Amino acid sequence: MDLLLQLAKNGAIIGLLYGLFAYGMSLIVSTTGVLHFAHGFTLVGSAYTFWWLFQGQDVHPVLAAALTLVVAGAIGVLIELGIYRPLRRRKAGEMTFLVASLAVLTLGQNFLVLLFGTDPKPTPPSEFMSWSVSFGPLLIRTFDVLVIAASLVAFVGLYLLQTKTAVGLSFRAVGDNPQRAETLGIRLQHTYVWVFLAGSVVAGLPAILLSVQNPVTPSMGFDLLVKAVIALVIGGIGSMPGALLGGVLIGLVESLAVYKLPTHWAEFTLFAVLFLFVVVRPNGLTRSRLRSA
Amino acid sequence: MRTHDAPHAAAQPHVLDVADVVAGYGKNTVLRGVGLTVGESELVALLGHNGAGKTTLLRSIVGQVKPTAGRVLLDGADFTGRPPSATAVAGMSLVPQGHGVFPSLTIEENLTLAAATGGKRGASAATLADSKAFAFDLFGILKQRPKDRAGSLSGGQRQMLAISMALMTQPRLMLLDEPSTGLAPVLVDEVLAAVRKVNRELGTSVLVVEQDIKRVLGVADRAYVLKLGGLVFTGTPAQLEKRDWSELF
Ligand SMILES: Nc1ncnc2c1ncn2[C@@H]1O[C@H](COP(=O)(O)OP(=O)(O)OP(=O)(O)O)[C@@H](O)[C@H]1O
Ligand SMILES: [Mg+2]
Repeated sequence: MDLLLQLAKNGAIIGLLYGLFAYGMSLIVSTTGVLHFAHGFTLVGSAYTFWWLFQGQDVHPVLAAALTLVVAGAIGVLIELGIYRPLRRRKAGEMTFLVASLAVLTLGQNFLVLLFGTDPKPTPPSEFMSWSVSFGPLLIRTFDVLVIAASLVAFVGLYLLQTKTAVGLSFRAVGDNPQRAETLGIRLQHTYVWVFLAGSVVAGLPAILLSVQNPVTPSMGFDLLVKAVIALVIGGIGSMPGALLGGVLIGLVESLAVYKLPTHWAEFTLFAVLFLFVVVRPNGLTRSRLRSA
Repeated sequence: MRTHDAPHAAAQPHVLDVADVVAGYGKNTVLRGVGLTVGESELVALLGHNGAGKTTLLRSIVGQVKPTAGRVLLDGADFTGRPPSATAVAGMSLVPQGHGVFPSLTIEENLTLAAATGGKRGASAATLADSKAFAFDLFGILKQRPKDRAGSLSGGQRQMLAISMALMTQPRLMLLDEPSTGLAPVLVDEVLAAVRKVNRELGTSVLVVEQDIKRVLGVADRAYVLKLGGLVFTGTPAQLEKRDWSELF
């Protein structure tokens, strides 16, 4: 029973990171209408950045984390400016965006292999990270506290951004109706850059936290992308509670599957749950805000 | 706001001056040289049969459609082909037909977003607060449930919110595309009366496209009739009443 509880806690914590990653992507998708699969590259690129700074260059972890967030934002903005904006100007179809986005993810991932090889890159154990405290049967580690704090800051921050600031309101307005937004003086190109910045910086948080917990690998961007897509199918695109719920649900399923099944069944269980969802609730838990063309 | 000086410094330029505009979609030319003006504090109706090109003209004015020939001047300054985000900040506020509000934003948020445009136009917080009070005075229903999503409002309430949003942008010129579409007759009167009130009390110039000809002629200072992409009538409502409508519409 204690093991089950511990697994559930670990699953929920990892799930928060999935939810964060998924919500950043969801924000970009619902505002721009682009299926931004390259968000996976933003994650893996940021994870390697953090590992390289912290482990390779001996940069203080706090500074390394701050720089990683900057890099994460820069990756997203560069993808928007370098790839999507030219495609938009040429009035490319949805499929072209999708292919371009997947190409960025694949090429980027291969580029990281060229630079760093395929072997997993662990960050060294530290005294700070190995602290823990027991609450009855529950063991709370530094990692758990960091994840909860980061998620809280990010979700509250994104909520306030989107309800209290003109730029954040413009994300939602552009997602609803870009033509109408323009007639209110909103410049779509600016809004897109801002939303890529916001969504990508948020992807930096799971990138950093996953790097300190597990070794960094070139495929982690793709793995997280698959989980984010599942989380968004379950939770609905554009919905903050949806992404959070979807992410935590995936984390729980993954973690709890291990309780009874061999570890390599985790993925099978995940897709079984996804399949069930698609059949039972094809529109997700919450109302989707993805623009219907 | 002016980027070019008017040719005759003495003559007051019209708020909106559209000259010989040719525009359409791809090879399909819809407007074949249309010119019209809207004066200071004037309320002008733009009428015409379905498909005559009324919406295309409004979209050409605000820049959603790029004219292939002709001129669009706001207060004498050239805005031909400028993007809608630029014409909006310059003072044109379009209320598009049927899609004037952002459904996933609350009433309050829709107004706040529009107020940001007013802010870009140099309006102070006090001015924006006044505009909001004016809008709530026009449409009391909006004040009651500010946290409701616009998507949950009725057609009439959405139209009222869309007009209020236009107000918040502190426009020089308000362009309304069929504000009465889908509204019950009593609401049509309420909406048109509100537009008239904005025009009279705030001095905002208005160009309004309407299907409900009788009702809009009741509030308009002047009217244009568009047919097959060309103007076939210009004059006062009284003059229009005397014409044979079968050849205009
Ligand atoms: N986006 C578009 N692409 C191609 N053609 C269009 C487009 N919008 C309108 N048209 C065509 O342009 C012509 C004029 O349309 P427009 O919408 O300007 O007319 P309207 O006077 O506003 O009509 P209504 O009273 O029905 O609103 C029509 O023949 C229409 O089919
Ligand atoms: Mg029309």
